[in-house]
Amino acid sequence: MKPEDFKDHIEFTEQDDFELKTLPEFVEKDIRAFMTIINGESDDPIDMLWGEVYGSINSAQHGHEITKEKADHLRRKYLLLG
Amino acid sequence: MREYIDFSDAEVLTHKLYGGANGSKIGIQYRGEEWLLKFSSPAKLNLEISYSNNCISDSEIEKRLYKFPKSAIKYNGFRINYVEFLSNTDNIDCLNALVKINSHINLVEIFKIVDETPVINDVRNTFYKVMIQKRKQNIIERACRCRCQPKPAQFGSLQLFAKRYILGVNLCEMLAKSSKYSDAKLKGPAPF
Repeated sequence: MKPEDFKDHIEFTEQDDFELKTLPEFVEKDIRAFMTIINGESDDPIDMLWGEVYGSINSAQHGHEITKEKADHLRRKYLLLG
Repeated sequence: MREYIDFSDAEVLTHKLYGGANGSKIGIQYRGEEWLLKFSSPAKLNLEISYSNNCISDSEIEKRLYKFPKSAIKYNGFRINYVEFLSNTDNIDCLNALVKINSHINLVEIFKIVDETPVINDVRNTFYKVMIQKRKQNIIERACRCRCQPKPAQFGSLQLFAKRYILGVNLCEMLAKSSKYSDAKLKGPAPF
């Protein structure tokens, strides 16, 4: 798993930035940390942050903080799942 | 083609001392420069094999022990860090459950599952085994040892703590659901 595997597939717009602000704070925080790795602004290991985003989305979905549709969208967009 | 260097005649720098887990280390002088030589730990679960390799550095292991992953369970609105929570919690039910679970963890059986999993290569196989073993030792067993040494001063207020904790979490979740934007996001109330 390398940052470049994701960089070409994740488009991050101003609207995406706004969408992150509507998410539970722990999800937003993990996705932003993940994006800093994708953008080469952090040398934290990508596998760990990928796992954190994965866990945070699951946690938010099953804690009824976001809908399943929103969770699936986030998984597709940032984790390239589904 | 892979080349191997024979360090047998290299001068050992006895004043260079290195700590940490995951194999012993010595300092040597090689071609006018100081180098660190790291030796693999012997395979603890299979003494018959003639070699072992440490493909994961201490710092990478520590990141995966003490920083990541975090639990799906949240406290004050954020997912808890396993080591931090389990090493400091006074929640006896949680610690008793951990002791019970620990007694059922059979590393030999788990490693057998890893070995029998198709597709994964040797590096990934070793990575899984190292991390599973380290997490058991440094997170679960460490917390179990802490359970055997309770903090008497905090014991009396356990029920009060639990009630306040549950109230705090419920309130936190309720408020979090009612606010969606970052400026209104809840940092989470302290349970006390």
